[in-house]
Amino acid sequence: MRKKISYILLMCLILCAFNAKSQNMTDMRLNEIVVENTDGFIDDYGNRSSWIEIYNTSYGTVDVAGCFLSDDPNNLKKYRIPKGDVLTKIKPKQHLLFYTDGTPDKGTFHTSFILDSTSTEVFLVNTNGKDIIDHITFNPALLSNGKSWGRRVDGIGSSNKTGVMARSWRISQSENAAEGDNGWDVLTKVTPSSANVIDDKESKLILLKEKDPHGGIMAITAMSVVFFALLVLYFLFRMVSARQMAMEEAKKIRREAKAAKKSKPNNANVTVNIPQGEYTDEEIAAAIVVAIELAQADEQIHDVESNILTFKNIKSPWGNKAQIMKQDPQINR
Amino acid sequence: MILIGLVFIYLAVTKDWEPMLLVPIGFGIIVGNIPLFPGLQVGIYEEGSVLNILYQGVQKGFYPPLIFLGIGAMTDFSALISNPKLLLIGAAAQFGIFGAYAIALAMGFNPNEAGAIGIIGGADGPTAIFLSSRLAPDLMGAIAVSAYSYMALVPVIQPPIMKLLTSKKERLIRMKKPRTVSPTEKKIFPIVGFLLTAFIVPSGLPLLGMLFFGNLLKESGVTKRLANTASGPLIDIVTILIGITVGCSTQADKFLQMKSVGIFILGAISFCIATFAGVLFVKIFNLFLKDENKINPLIGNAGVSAVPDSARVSHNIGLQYDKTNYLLMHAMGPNVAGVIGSAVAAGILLGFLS
Repeated sequence: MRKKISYILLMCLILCAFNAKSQNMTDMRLNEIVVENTDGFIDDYGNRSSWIEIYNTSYGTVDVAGCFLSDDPNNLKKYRIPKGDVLTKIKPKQHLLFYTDGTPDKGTFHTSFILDSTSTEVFLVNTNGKDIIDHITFNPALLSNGKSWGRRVDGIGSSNKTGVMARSWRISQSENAAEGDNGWDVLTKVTPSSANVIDDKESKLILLKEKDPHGGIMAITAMSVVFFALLVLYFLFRMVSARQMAMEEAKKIRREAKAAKKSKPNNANVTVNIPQGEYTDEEIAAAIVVAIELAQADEQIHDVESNILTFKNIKSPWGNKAQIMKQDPQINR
Repeated sequence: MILIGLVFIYLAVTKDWEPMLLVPIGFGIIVGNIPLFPGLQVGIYEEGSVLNILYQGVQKGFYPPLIFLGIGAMTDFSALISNPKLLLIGAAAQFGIFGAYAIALAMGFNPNEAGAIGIIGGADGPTAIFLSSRLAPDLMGAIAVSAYSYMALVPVIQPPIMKLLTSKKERLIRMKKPRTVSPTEKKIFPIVGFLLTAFIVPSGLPLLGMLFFGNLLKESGVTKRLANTASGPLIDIVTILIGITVGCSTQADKFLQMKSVGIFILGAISFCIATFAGVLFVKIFNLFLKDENKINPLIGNAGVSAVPDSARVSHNIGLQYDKTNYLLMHAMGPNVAGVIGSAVAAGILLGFLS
């Protein structure tokens, strides 16, 4: 049984591990492409070529080695990103550029296919060569003279692949958002290996300062959340507390009932027979208590009439001084 | 700055003001302000130096959650569980944070700086360090020193406000004896408390998670060794490291500025507002409670989460008016609620301003 449980746990762990890896891969996004690089970015060989930018949307480093890039839906394994190059690891919220110049012998980041004015699609495929992580379609006619096709906000927006989530709430914030808009556009600036838009962190703080210059909204909102959190906790524990008290009360009643059932004499109607005139009230009270205790303990010390405790004078050696005194040592002469 | 460090050590040694913190911070200030030749790889801001490596715990923010782990393993939530309405006092005292935030904005601080300064009102050193390292790293030294200084000054700051806001009749209120809390309730509390607060304020996860985890170690009854380590050696080690590195980071060029003076003033204001709000909240709350359930407003100040100093203040002030009215156990309720409240407030500020 224990072995079985161990196997199940092991399987769960393995599944989780696979799942985690897969989850990281699926956080990758095609982010920007250029198909006609006329006067833009130059690679390490001094050439201008078309390129694809991948963006890591996750908060962990992801190694894309082993994944595939392709421009052909019928051959998703066109270019396998080589393993063993540390540069294939993309840090959180960072970009990686691949030159689509058809010269893979130039290094890891030069693909075996060429993206040009005839291309209309790009695929990023998982290491198994089947699962599409991201897929875009574009109109090359719009991308002449070095223009780039990219996401208006890095990593945000749907791809054309069915099942990839469309973060339409963000897209709809865009002024240009139209029906069917998937967050992609011809970008006004070509931004290889860098963000398509400037991070809005500063503007968020400025906006907060503008909209809430005295901090009143912030204070009210935050205090409401603090109160809400602790209020929920209060109500919950009031309920837990009430339930616990009820349970304890019920337990106590059960315990008492059990004890009453177990004790043979009915203590409420006990008749006590005590020899008259020999004892003080305190001694009688003490004797009654001890007798009841012994009766409840089911020790057959007293006689067995129901509901009657009978006290008898017993000559105990403990009360007889003569009996408890030690004998003087005898000397045999 | 070296003089300030010496004053801290003097106050800790002679006046017994938060010695566990002021001695490491004071000595750290002295260490951090020794003039150095740049490039020796010994300064706290020189990458790879020993002090720099130790400082990562503050910069990356992993010391404060470890301290919260220890606090959780030390804290007994019985007072709170037996009388859950005391939780609300802990919430009310967080007004100090947001009051100081609003005043800091009016004084010209940026929203993120104002948030980091406001958290001083939470009276929780680790939370103040955690939040300032995220929102305003440049002000972290001044904020940490200010937070710990005012925590040491709780017995001086709070009593006048408590006396001002309460009548003699209110100070004599005797609270109902707290009921005995079962071990099952104690075990349930950290789990339910964590789930609820973390779902409402996920950004407070590092602090709340560690606080409740530490408490579960204590209350589960089966991890005594872990609980002992968290509440003993671990918290001591982290306190030493956090104290010395925060002290080292307060270098003269960054610390001796008008901004630091502003932070100290705002720190005092935030403590006053928190005390004021806590006591006033109890007075208002009492209007809705039956006579036998009334709360002594002197425990309102304990919502400021300086554990157990502010609860001790409630107790001592209570004893001044009735030698047999022991408020300590009752005051521990809002006191530990304040720890939860300030962690939740820090999470909210982090969510809004980071």
